[in-house]
Amino acid sequence: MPIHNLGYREWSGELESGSSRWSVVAGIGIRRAWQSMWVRRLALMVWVAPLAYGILIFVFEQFLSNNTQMSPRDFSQLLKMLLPAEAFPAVAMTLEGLNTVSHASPEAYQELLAAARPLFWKGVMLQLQRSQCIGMVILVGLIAPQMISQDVRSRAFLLYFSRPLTRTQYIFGKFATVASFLLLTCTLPQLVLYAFAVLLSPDISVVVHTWDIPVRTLLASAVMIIPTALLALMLSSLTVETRFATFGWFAIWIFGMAAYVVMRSLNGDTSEIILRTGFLYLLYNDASLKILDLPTLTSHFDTQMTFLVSLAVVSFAVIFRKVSAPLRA
Amino acid sequence: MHRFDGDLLIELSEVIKDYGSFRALNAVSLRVGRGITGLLGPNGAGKSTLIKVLLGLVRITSGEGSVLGHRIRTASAAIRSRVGYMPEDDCYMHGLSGIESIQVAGRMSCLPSTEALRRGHEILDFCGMGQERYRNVETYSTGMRQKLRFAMAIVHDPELLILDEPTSGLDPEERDAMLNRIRILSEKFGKAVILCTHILPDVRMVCDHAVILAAGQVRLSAPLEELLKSPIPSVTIQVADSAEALTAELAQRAATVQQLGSHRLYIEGDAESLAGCIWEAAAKVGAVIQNMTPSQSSLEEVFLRAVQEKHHAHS
Repeated sequence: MPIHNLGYREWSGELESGSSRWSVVAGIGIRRAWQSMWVRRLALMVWVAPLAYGILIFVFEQFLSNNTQMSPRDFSQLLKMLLPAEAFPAVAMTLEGLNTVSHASPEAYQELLAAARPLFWKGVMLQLQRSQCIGMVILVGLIAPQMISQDVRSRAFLLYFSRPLTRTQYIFGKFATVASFLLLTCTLPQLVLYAFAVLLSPDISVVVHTWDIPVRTLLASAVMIIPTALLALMLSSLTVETRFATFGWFAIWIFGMAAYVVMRSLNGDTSEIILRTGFLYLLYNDASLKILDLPTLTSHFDTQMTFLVSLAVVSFAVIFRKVSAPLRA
Repeated sequence: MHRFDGDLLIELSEVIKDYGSFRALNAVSLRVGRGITGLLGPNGAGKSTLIKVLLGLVRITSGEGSVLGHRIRTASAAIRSRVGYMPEDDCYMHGLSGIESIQVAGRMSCLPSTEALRRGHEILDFCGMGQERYRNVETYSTGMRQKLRFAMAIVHDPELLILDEPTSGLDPEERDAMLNRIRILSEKFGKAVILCTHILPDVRMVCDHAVILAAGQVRLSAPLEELLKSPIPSVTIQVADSAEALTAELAQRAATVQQLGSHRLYIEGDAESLAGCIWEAAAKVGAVIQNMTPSQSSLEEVFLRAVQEKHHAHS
């Protein structure tokens, strides 16, 4: 018997509010996910991209301040490589305008500058989001498939639901686990990049022209994170074998891309909207373009958003049903 | 924390639970008070469903009920915050150590984080778990997981404990220790316990009351002492000698006597009213009575009788 064994003692303290029970579930998930070496590596690796884009913003700001020796043509070529195809023409056009407007007309110059900078920054944000989307797929593939399937396998459901924890709180806790990693690896780098860009700007007044970028970034992240996390959790809830859920998750992305490439190359009658909605990467890209207010090649934003909302709702309904099933048995 | 001070902790009235066309609970009416109540029944009797109903995990089809003064239809969260449940299944939270599991269980029952950890250690001490509490639960033996589940059930100091097969998978020493813990919680701390088990000796050892469930119906619900009384009151006596003479003497005194072997006698009648007559008869014939006990049914007999009623009803 341990020397400090006090035996059983009654407890009469004050209980906490039950509204934060989901955070206990999320805490377990985060702790478990963080135990994986690969998750830790990936969480660090995703910060390389914002660093690179930070340097690009620095060069851009230097160019605007005429502190660089780079010719406008070379700079334009550089941007063509780094900016998304959809955003590049608009940025290039405003840059061209900047070169043609004489410095003798400071008002026109300032006006163009005010237009060029947000466009460029949004383009960089979009490009960063695209690169992070790949990291997101891998990260979610490492974290989410085990979240519910493992609880079903180890019958942890009985331990959770014999407490005053509702099914919605449980699902929200699981969702928060995946979402917190995505916020850490997708949203936070974008916000840090924005702060970095503000700091690299000639003066703080750029905030007046670019204040909406972090808001739009948050919105674009939410549009990406909510359906992604729910879809991954739904796959996890469908099986007790984590590997099947992992396979399903990566299959959605790989087969989606393969289907898109094949259908495009066949140049068949399949409509563009179906192709762009079927491949989630393009779907998120189109949604982000619209939310960031960048020129877009598609005009199906409403349909695509309806699809994303439906995906999230259906995923939640399936998870809820699957989570309830072991209790009914 | 407000404590329930009534005597009836569980009250069910005509509770019916259907799973599709299958009726798992059929008009169950039950009243459970303080002390330790054994919940017995064959497989498929509806014990698990009854537990889920008590915890508010499944919606009842019809009927009414309350647990610790809370209605099961509307206040399931309030019930679960005051009830400790130990599932029978080998369930655990993947990737956590023993102490982390208990802390999580405490936190989900709304204990503050530090308090959940402190109490977790205290409860694990009470359950006889040493340094293994820092190991991952996946490495635990069946018995250790059993103790961990018990600890998780009591970490938030519940008023009512529902223990599903708490001693299965335990070695004899651990089984005794577990039953002892249950007894301590009930006798010393006034916890009401529902012990759901197939191990009838466990029920005999610790329970005050027994409920036998079969085919979704409550077949018997009574204090254990009462259940174990023989259906026909009788006394069995052990004599050193003169068994035949004593049998004849008792028969003359209008008692229904049966001799069981050379030294045992079975006498029908109430033990208290027969005692005087037996002693007088023994003194008369010079028989030495070594032992006199009122006959009891074994719990196995009671259980089988209660369960077999179903077969009679069906046939």
